[in-house]
Amino acid sequence: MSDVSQALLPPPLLSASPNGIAFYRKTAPITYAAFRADIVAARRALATLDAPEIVLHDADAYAFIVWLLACWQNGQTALLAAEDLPATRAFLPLPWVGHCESSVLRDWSDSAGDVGVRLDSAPLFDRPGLVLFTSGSSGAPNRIFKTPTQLCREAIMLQQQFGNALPPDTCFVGSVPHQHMFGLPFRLMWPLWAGYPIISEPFRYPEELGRLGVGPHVLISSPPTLKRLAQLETFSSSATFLATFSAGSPLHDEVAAACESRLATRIVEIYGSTETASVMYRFAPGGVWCEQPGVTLALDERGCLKLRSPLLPDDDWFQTQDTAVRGDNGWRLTGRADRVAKIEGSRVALDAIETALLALPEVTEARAAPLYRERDEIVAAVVLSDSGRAQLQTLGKTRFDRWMRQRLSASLDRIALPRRWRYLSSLPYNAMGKVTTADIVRLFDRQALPPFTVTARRTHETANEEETTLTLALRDCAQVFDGHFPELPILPGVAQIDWALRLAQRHFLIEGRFSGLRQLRFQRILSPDDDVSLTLRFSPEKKEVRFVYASAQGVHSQGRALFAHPAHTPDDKA
Amino acid sequence: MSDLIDEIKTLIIETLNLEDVTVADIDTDAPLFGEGLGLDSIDALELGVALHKRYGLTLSAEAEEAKEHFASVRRLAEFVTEHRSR
Repeated sequence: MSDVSQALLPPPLLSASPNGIAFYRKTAPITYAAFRADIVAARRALATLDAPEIVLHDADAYAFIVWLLACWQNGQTALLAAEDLPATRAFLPLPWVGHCESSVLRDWSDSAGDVGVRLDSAPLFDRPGLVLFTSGSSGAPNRIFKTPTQLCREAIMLQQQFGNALPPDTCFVGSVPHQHMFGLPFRLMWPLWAGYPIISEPFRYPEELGRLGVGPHVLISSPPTLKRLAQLETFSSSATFLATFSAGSPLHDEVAAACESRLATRIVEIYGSTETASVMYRFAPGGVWCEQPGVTLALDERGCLKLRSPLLPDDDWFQTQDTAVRGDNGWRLTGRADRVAKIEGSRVALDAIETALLALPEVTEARAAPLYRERDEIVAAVVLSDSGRAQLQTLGKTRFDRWMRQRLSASLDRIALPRRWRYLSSLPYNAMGKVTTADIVRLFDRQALPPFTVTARRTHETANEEETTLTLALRDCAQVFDGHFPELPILPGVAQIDWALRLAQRHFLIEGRFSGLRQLRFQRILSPDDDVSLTLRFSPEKKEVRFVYASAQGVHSQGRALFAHPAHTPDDKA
Repeated sequence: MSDLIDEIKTLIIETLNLEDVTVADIDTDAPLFGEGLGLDSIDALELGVALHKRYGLTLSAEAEEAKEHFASVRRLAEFVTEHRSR
């Protein structure tokens, strides 16, 4: 493993037959000859930038890897931007490369530059070739440096560990983004170094796996997608799956078992992080965690894992916040040490709250988070089971909130009981299959909402519709009037729609995703001094919310918001 | 009295930021703490401050007495009626 006397290019790029298939892009094969030519062209194009560092952002896995390998050939470092947003652009004032809005170099094919440039089989270098970003606890991104040597080592490690039974025509297909530390080594580096063809496009919905061709495949995925696969009513695919890998968040055993039988393959769960790369694996469901070759694990005095690994930049111990216990044949992960919140001076374990929630038959998924505002409190975002939904509909949100607290009070301290609740059709998973605390806290954000009080609630039994009326304190929401005419402050229509949607999603359990507006009418302007009420009427059957802003003057505006399936999948944000 | 009861309910909702809770949701005779509305000692402190500001009354620091006042909205309203200075 330590002997990485490898060239800077994946060996198949130097040795494979020119007609061998390296990638499939929209089912069209890309040969090694074409791959080589593209890297040379990209290298030439990148050299014209004359920049030691570039930002690389390309949603296409093939284009991404061409740019990355070309970068390394030139001795340039690629910074991976997870998204192309104004804030990211301001944060990374370097030349952007790849197919994205900020790009100065979208394409390599029409580049000028030195025609004498060739592929270089120079040895791997130990300088950073890649920079990734993780969200630090302070909210500012941390830079994580990777050398090509580190990435190559992981590729070789994965092939040694999992590649024995894979025939050379095994196709790698994934649902996880390729610019993160699970997708990059598993979807791209491993198959590239070992010579397996790669499907460039990520699949977004598990249904798409049914369209794969006959032949052996390896699947690189994450719990949200696998969960959806487990829930599909029917699934068939002519492809043969030889292995499925999952990482990002814990995979529940029931989901793993369902996917195992659906895909007729072992499910391998990977434990690791951007900093450490892969550290352990386990066969789900039920397996214990085992170290990857060369990795040494130990526990610190708090019971947290620390590790040494050939994939780390040096030989020092790397400290994690994950607690674990050692068993006979491997490790069991038990939680996170940093998932302890301080609530009004008391220590509260968020894992314990989630465990208590999941023990209720009404709950299928749950996340707890601390909210530090006027007072410290615990909040919970919950996905309900069918019985939970029925109960919510019967009791209404306020009484249901209270009922949930009561049920939890048997197993939790009063201070740990969630004081605010959101009932969702799915948790806010990000592209990496994780639910961050920040995203949970955002669900409870009321910054851009005016202070409101619920004044009435009724159920229209015949139509099976629910109605909630709120009064809004517009004068306490000055920021939305900013810039909307100093002389005559009025509430912008977009704000009215946004509020109606957010308040509706908060008060009703709306399945699916916002899909459109109908019959929108703005009849009277709304100014800060109006005493305005907002009536929301939700029809679960029509998946529609009717909203009406009204005051003593009459109706100000109204419309219908429509919601539709498919419900969001985690890869939508990729 | 019923006006005062609604007023106190509104005060509780506003002071404690009880989102999604309406005046009608608060049972006049149910305990505010523990089982009923599920308020805790930190809420009691905040509510105490708000009652002082609104009605000029001072709640006793004695835990037993405070418990008595917060037994229900009705008891709280009686206490306010008796002791208010504004």
